[in-house]
Amino acid sequence: MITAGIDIGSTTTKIAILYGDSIAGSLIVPSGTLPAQTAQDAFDKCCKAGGIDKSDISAVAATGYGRRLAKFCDMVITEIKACAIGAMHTKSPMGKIFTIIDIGGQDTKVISLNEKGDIEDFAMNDKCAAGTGRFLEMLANKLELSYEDFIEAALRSQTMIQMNSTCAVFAESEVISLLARNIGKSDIAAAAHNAISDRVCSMVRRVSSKEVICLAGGGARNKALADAIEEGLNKKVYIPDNPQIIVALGAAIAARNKILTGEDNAI
Amino acid sequence: MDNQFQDIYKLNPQYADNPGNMKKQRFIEDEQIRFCAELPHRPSNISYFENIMYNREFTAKPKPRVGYFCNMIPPELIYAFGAQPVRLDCGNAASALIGEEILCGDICPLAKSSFGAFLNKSSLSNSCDLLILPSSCDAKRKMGEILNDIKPVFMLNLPPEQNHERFSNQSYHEVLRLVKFLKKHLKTGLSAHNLRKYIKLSQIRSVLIREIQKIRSKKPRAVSICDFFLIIQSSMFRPADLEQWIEQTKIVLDEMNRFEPQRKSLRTKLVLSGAPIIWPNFKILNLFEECGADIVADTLCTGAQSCFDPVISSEWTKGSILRALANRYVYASVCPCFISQSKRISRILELVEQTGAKGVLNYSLRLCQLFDVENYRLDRILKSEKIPFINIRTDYSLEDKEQLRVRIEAFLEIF
Amino acid sequence: MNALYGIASQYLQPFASPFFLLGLLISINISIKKIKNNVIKYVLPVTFALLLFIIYRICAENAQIAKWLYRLNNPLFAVLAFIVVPAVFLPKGRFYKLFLILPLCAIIFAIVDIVAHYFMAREKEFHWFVVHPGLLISALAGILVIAQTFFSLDNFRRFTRLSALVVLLFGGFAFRQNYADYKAMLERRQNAVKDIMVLSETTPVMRYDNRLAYIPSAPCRFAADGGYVQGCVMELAQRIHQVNFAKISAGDPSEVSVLAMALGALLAVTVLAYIGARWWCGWICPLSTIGSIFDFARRTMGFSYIKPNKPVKTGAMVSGLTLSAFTLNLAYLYTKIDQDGKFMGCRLPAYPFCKICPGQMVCPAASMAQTGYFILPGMEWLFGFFKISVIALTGFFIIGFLTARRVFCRFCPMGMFGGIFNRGALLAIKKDSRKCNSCGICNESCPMDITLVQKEMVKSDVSSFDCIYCGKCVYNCPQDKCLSIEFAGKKVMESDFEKKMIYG
Repeated sequence: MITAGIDIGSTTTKIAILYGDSIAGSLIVPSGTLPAQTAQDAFDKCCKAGGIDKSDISAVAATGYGRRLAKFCDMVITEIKACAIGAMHTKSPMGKIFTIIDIGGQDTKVISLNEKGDIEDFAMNDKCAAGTGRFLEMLANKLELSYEDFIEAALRSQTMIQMNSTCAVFAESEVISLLARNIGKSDIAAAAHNAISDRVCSMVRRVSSKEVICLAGGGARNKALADAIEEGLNKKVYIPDNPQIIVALGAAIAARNKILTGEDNAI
Repeated sequence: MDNQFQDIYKLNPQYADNPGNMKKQRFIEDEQIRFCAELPHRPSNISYFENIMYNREFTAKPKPRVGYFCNMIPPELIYAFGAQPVRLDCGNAASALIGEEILCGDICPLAKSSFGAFLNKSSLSNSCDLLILPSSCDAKRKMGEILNDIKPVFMLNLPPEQNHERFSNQSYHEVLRLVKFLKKHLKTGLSAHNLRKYIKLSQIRSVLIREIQKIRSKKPRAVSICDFFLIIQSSMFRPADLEQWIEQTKIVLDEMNRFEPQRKSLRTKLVLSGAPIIWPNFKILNLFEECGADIVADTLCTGAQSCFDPVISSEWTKGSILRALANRYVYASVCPCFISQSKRISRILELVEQTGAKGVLNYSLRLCQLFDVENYRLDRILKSEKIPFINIRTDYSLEDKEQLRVRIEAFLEIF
Repeated sequence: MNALYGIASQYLQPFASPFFLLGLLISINISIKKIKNNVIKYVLPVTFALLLFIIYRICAENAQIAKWLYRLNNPLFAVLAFIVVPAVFLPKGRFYKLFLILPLCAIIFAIVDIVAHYFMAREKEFHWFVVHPGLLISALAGILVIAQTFFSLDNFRRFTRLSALVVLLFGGFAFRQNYADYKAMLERRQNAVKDIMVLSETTPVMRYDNRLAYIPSAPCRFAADGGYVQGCVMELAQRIHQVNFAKISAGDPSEVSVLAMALGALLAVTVLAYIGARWWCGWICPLSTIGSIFDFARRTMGFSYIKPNKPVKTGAMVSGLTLSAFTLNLAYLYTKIDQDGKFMGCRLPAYPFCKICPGQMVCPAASMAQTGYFILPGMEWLFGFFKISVIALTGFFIIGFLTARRVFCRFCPMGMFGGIFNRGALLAIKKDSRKCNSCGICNESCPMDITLVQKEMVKSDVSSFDCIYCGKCVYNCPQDKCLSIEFAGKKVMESDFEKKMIYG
């Protein structure tokens, strides 16, 4: 059976096509200003790239902030549930996953699971940019580095500097003052990562930090951030392959489960 | 009788002249009216309650009007003096913006909104002759002096601990002091006969609300939560005729008894607890209605809990009745302004068991420390009882609906 | 009629034993608490009862045991076992309607007895009707059981209290077994020295064979025509203090029989206390009913009551106990009086406690002197102690009931005796703390101002020493099923605010 999941996020739209138990195709595109159109186009493109005929797809599930915009989808599911399902599917080599940290472009989620893999508790930070991928993007821009160079710079840093601003916007001006004090870009980059990781870790501690902890979302590809979080929680984290499509994958699995069991997880 | 506030520092009230804000206030109300109008299956006489609630003309006053806050002031006492009690806690988000200009921005939105209502000369709050405030939370306690510049204010001192043995005499003397205050300003006397009459009416109201809540837990679609709150709040937050209200609510109850749902409701049943939800700020109720869950019971001081505990007097002498009023309104309250939250937790667990609800929803207002701090223990206790629980923390603004929606949908997906 | 009563009392002997009643109730308690099967629930107590019957019969073969068993018997126990216990425990269905025939028969038998005695008598005078005490008690129980189906709880309690008041104040006339007895009493009254301190006392004859049986009640000799219905636990205590133990060891038969009767009565009152604890304070005691009339006057006049705090309540209890202990000592010293009737120069009466009890003034007043003397003791008794005490206590009784509630009950030693059994007896007040909203109405309605019911949030048993089981807390509680009264494991009353409001 082939099912598909579409994660319409605020920054990027992700597609995942599930064939049997493995990923047959995936795609990540920027959402742009017309998310519904973007979703449709991305879906078409992904199917073509994987060599899959759209009529073979049994069901499509939409998730993410724009989940109700894609009218061609068969069911909707929140990104929280999709993230949990997707993370459980990855079968981490470190053991059963009990905590998931999803660092997205404009929000961060922490989900705690119980023994059976069901969601026990969750917390979302979607009101403030400090603690999301956006924060790092803004600071990388300010330092005039590309995102990859920014991460690399952070990894090279040897000293620990504390950034003071609570607000992402004020952090920008703080970067200028740090540069003026001749502090190196790598140290500033590291400080930025530490700032994010502090906020993420405090959110994790409020919910649950039971191992194994899985990192998902776009932020998981950032090695400096993963290291900072590991240090902050003093636990190792598991980063699955292709962490950014975990949520879309979860949606696809949910669509498959719905057909198999007749159960409706959707609203 | 001594004055609680010094007159030498009395100020002139500063009314606001902000037609843009007034328009916004009306817009918020109209939005809610529209949402309620689109609800499926409303009671046939809902227009009676709507007329009371949507009315914007408050100048006509057949009886002197006494405004009060919170759920710790006995309205039966005010009725017995021949006056009309009106609860002045306000739920309009735009009104909070005006209040914020004078009061600090970092306080409870309810306090800001209620204060903002006073800055509008033609509001219901300004049409009152007297005001009574309990010393429940910090915001209410400090608002008293500020409001005293606008209308004569009486602050009812509450004990910090709901310990009947230790403080019941104190509460009784506070009620006696309130009686003296009302006598002085309303210039009428108080008879045990009148008290008895209004307590009996209030007991009937209590029974009706209990019955409606019971039926709603079995047939949630008989009356939606928004309409239920509308019915309850129309008797408290507007100058309503209690006897007429009882007659109309009996009709609603009859209809509910005869209501037969066409199919079994698959929507999740939840118990709601937390901070006050006041019309037109039905944001949370609307969201749950849209997301497909039924709130079958609540412990809100502006919902069913406000009318749930009846006043019972062991005998009908005036002293005994006043004691009974003090007891019910101070010691039966589940407000977090007291030092222990055990009563609220017992109530929630009891409601979950009685109604067969699947989960508990705690609604806390941003910037209310009391509900925020209580959330920690509530979370742990409900988790140990294996009851699914979600805490929704928001303020009056209508801008975060979608963010709340995703949380609510994620919570409902657990079931 | 007499013959019938004689035969019945002979065959139904085992049922009049306190052991039968106790055994029956304990087996009911066990079957309610532990047994789930609905059939066995009813079969077990019945089989147990039959077992007790057989054991009694076997024991009665031995003459010595039979004598003692017989002494302990009391028609009151048979009435309780056959009329009251089924009324409480049978489910309200068809069986209940069938069972109602029993109290109806009791009433009919009592009426027949009265009529028969009336026709058999030679002189017909107004305030004289004779009926067997056993039949009177069963008829009264029958009336109450049938009335319970019509009245609400508050009204049922008022009805019970008024009937108890009437029976205990005036019932002595009915307890006389024949007209000669009645005439003898009138003569005694005529000729006796009108001195309350030397009033001659008797104990109620309740059995066909003229042996004495005991009804525990309060008040006592100052009601019911000069002393027929007695049985305040203090009276027993005084009797026991006055028993001459030297004579007992010598084997004096009359002294032995006095001690036997006193011990038997003590066992009876203990059994009843174990079964009902302090329930008679709330439902039977005529002194409290008279006090409630004053309370009604207070409420009608609009005066609020004064709430005593803990030190005052404890002080009342301690002074009551002290006074009672003092009079018991005087009772013992009575045995040491010389030929003049004096002990160390003071005149002492036979039953000192009774002479300071307010019942001595209040009961004759309530019965309009039909049943007792209305005189004060003289000053020469113990330096005027008795005169001053009885005036003070009676004044206190009246003023107390006009300002607070149940004032005398906080001093009453009979009440305190029952109060000892309040925790752990078959009657209990239970609370489901999770339903409680701490409104305190239970504390406000409680005539004894008990705070435990409202304060206790952990345990489910909230019985306390002061509780008189009037049921006002349960009746007034607004949270459904929060408070309840449990008798031998069965909930006989539960708080149900909505039902009360809807159905009245």
